[in-house]
Amino acid sequence: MLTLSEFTGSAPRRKALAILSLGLAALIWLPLVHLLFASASTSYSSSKGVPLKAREMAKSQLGQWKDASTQAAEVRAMRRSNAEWDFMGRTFLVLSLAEMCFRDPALNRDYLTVIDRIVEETLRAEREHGMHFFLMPYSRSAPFREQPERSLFIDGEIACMAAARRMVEENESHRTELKSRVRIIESRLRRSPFMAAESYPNECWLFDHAMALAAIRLSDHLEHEDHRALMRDWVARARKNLIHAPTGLLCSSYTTEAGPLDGPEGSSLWLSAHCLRLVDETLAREQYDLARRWLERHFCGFAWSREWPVSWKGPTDIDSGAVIPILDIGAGASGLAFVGASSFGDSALLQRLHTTVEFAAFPARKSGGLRYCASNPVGDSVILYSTVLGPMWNKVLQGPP
Amino acid sequence: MKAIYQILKSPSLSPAGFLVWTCAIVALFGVTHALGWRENATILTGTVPGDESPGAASLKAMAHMAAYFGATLVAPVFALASGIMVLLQRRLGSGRRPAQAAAGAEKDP
Repeated sequence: MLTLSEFTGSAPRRKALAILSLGLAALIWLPLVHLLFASASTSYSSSKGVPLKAREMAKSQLGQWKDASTQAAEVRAMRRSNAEWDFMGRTFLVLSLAEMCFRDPALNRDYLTVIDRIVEETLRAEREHGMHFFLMPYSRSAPFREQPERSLFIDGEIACMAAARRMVEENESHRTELKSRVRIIESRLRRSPFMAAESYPNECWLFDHAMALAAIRLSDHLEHEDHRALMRDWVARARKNLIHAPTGLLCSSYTTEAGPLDGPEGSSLWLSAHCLRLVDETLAREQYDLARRWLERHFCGFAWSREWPVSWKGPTDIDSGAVIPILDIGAGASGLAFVGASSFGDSALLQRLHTTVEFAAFPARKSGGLRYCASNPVGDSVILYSTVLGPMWNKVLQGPP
Repeated sequence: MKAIYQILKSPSLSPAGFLVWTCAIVALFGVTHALGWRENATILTGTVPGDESPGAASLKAMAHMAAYFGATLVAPVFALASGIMVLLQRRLGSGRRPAQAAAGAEKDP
């Protein structure tokens, strides 16, 4: 029987024993923590059907779109920090819903209605307030080099949304929109000697180019057109001008003359690798493997992404989210790593990433819905997209070139 | 009551002290959770929640995250260490014997 004085302890070697006990306890506990938060891979990934986590996250996000006041509050909170997130949240939700329609055609009727509402509402906002409505304030800080001003960020993602909708079911108004955006993107890329189209004044982003090129490939599939020459030219220029020599990764932002503004950025690269699969599978795989090498970190069953490789010291911008020091955890980069890992079938990384968000992103489950308190609607829609992506890309990749 | 008081007053580096720490950390987490401060964790993505000021949201988020990670990472280590220390004291015979304790034969440094 343990006595009280043994329990409170006062032996001469007590301190040494205490420190030894703490060390042993940490050695036992810390490697096991991840087991409490690990979930079965079938809950977030499946080749057919909609995984449970996707259903839960979709329910939460659709709830926001169905309830105008909730949606307005969420959008207001995001726009206070970054108007881009309002726009990107729409894109990733539309892509997710389209992928879910592929996985379960019974969802088509409900989800196509929501997709149409999101796209129409986005086009209305763009029409009424101009493209700057979805851009950060510095979009007005200088004139765009290419006039009339347009942002590839806006054109590429609207094209992607319209294409995703049409991939599920043809729609004439989306067809007109998609064709118009593709024509604009193509002509802007062709006019630039470096095939660099601005998203902000004299600022071009890999993320936006990858998304826009993916939209063109989706459009080619739908329209039976062929932009392979355009894509080959872009890839050749990217390999020539945008590679960060120490890592081999593509730079995330650059000028219209392809002068690098930022080095390789986790919050750009993971998604870009996914989109580039529709453009050049070799480049996409190469970039994913390099991102795994230079940006991904894991420890005791958890994984995260750095925003920058060790060889590049860049400032964190609003897209990066917070970067947690010492471990160098980039919130934005880690969120988008889900998309990369899922797209490239990297089940080991995906498992660790899901374990990490269950542990550290404060999941909130309510009425069958799921959201992460440490995320925001755009972060949640990115994770949702990672749980369902696949069928749409596969359809294009397996279709006629 | 006397036993509880003695446990609360026990040295930090003792089995009882570890359990006191465990309870304190878990209680702190319970308080921040009950206050709903975890909603402020969205600050990690650079988003300021609701009508909070950025400063207040950051403070609440930091407090909640410290309490949460304390409760999931540190508190179980203290709880385990408490049990391990008791076992070690018995195994190594370094635990204070009741008679010694009663006589105050050993003093804490």
